[in-house]
Amino acid sequence: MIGELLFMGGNPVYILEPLVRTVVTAVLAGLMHRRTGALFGLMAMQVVSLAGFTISAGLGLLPQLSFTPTLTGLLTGVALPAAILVLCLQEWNAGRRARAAQ
Amino acid sequence: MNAWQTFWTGIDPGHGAAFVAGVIAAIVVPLMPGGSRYPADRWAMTLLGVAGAVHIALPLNHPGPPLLAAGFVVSGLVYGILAYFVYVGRAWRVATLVVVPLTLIAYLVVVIGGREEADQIGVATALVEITAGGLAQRGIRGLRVLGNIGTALIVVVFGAVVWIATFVAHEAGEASPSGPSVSSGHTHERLARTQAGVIMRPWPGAAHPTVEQERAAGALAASTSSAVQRFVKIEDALKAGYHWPLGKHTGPDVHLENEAYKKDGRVLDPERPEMLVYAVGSGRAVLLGVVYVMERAGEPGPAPGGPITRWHAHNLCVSLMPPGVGIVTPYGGCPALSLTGTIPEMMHVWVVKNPAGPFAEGIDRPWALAYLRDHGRPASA
Repeated sequence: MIGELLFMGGNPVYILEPLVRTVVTAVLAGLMHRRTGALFGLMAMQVVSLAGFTISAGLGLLPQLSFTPTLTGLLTGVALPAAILVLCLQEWNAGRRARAAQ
Repeated sequence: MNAWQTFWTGIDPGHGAAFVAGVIAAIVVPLMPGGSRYPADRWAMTLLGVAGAVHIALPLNHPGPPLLAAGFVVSGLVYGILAYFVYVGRAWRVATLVVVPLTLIAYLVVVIGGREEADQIGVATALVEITAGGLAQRGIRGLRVLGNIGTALIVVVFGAVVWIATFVAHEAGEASPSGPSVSSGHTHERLARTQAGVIMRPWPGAAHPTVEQERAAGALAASTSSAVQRFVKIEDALKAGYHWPLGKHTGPDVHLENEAYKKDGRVLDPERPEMLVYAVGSGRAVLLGVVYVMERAGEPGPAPGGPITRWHAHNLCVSLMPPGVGIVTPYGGCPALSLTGTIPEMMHVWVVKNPAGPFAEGIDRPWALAYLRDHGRPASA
């Protein structure tokens, strides 16, 4: 978050959104084992990340822009949110099975 | 450059074997039967296995002294042993928390010392190791909060140091008269492989320009300088269709764009440069140079001066909330709710005696401001 702020020219306006995202992620991650809503919220955030990456790739089709895929970009923009999404789905399935068994 | 070429540009050819080994480890290690059933442990095992495979494979086609190769192999074996310890359920956390920072520090020392160019493999492997370290501290009592803060700090500091070291090395290469050529480090093409804010195509030819290329570069600089004399007064540039950038009307490198010239189908035309660069301040302005811009993103610009006339592009983050533009981080990311894209290639030609040379990618700010003070003309901006 702080790193991203630095790369946006140090403009403090950009602290707000990453700060909110970090806090919301931490809160949702802490609640995900107890509340299904938190689990869905976490999954929704990963879907937004993946959608952003997809839109950026699509914008690369415009003549004024090209898309630059990098290894680190794929790790942080695709692999990481996809892995969190998979883990959340596993958690959701485990919860469903546990509730069905009761 | 298409997307595939751009992807490979970020990977040092000497790290190709390490990339393949890392990908194979990332596929094979999680599929190993048995071991811990806890997802966090299995992730840690995979990450440590990937780090081990990358380190062990690095010396295969990586030029360097035997001591460096031995260091890679030893650190790779240590990571492999730690992955094995996770697999069999032996203590691995404390050792991981020792090994990861040591590896990162060693990498930074090599990068800062100029003996290694930071590339996508180096930064990605560091990310893998930092994540493994983050998972390791989770299981240690009393370290959770402190460990999380430490992990976040390591991410920030490592990324910032790599980025700054890369830019400093690149700038030093540009300014050094003993370098092989302006903007061409050839085997160590700083900035080409971190792909954080600046995208440079690797130069495939000889590092040193031929006599013809030197002559062509000189001719381009001279014709550019001659052609833009009509824009010495900034008001004349504005009358010719150049416009101010959004929100920035003063500074040592104010870029004025001409939208008509940007889509006129002309490339590298001294009579119609797509941008003009002025130093502006205290009611004065002075023309410093031009920027030639390609019309379409991804198209390589012509290089009549060979390694002297290098083009570059920028990969940017365009934020929607709040609206603004920044550059992509060394981790390939942008702030949330922002999109990323790479704009068309561009090349600066300075029409003043820029100490870094007529084709340098930037100009020293104090030098430009001093030049403005000594040579600036009254401007109405």
